Amino acid sequence: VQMNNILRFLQRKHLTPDISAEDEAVMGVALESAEDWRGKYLTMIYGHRMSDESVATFTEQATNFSQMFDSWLERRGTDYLCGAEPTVADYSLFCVVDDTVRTVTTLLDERPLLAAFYARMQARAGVAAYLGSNPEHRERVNGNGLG
Amino acid sequence: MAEESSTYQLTYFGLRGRGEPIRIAMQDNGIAYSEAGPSPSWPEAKAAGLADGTIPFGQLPLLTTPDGLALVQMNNILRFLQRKHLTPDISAEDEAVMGVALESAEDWRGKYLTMIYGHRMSDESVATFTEQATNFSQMFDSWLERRGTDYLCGAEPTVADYSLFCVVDDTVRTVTTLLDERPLLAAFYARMQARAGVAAYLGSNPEHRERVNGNGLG
Repeated sequence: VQMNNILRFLQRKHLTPDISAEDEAVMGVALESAEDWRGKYLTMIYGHRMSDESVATFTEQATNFSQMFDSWLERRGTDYLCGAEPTVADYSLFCVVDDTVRTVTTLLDERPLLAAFYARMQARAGVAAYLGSNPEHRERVNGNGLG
Repeated sequence: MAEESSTYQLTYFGLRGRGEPIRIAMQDNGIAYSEAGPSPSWPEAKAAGLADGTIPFGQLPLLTTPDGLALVQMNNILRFLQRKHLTPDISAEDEAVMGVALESAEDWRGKYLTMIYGHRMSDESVATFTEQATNFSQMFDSWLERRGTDYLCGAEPTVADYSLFCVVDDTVRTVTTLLDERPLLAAFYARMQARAGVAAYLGSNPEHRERVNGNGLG
């Protein structure tokens, strides 16, 4: 159990079986920070049921997170967070951006690198096929129907 | 990257918080480190860290490795120490089993911190957290019963044990009856306190341990 734990297992078992402790830790910075972003999102959704005040608060938080991830991509100069191929940190970031833009519609307006990353992830063959299959569960973003 | 050093450098505020599990893991395993607070001030250090990427998301604790690698996020740092020092050959499967306990201890810590920072220990929040902690302690007690081991994942502690120890240690200051009906968790807590490295660290009474949280509560 535990989403990030499962993701890390998949990274070590399947994506990069030889990943070093150092490289996993660098990836882990981004993975855990995407989870911090998700935590703020879920507080808005479940804790405050998207009250106007909570949406305003989350909009500010998401704006900050998007800036920090855009800066991360700028510093690294790579297509994905940790190199030329996605890690599980990229999949987690993609999903939190994908959920966030439903509420913060201007999120990516001034985030060129994060916007390019988002588009790049959507265009990956496996991701595009999955999204294009329109699985029923994707209609329900959260358990309480909000977001 | 930061300059190379011969030891790890922990940058954190002078309090227990999310630094303590890292400290205790390193102390108990003889991993040499030095510690300093953010300099010259947290706002200035944060701005500099955001700009140069050493504190990429504006949060501490920060562990700088002897090779100059800057790592943040407590559980991420703990997992690094597990893989680098405690069990370098740990399999993906064993790390994932440990990770269940590690992340669940963090869930418990999250509830604790909501009481501390979100609600400043209002009576209602203390009652809520007491119920939550009671549930978490039951689940960890059951975990230890199922596994039949001294520590969460076997005969030796992993970083999950250090994290669990710290959240129990913080919780019992508020929920004083936490361990009354949790015999295995109580034994675990005592066992951790008695470990040579942990006992030496606790017995040295480092000043920062007087401050559990940043707002003085708890």
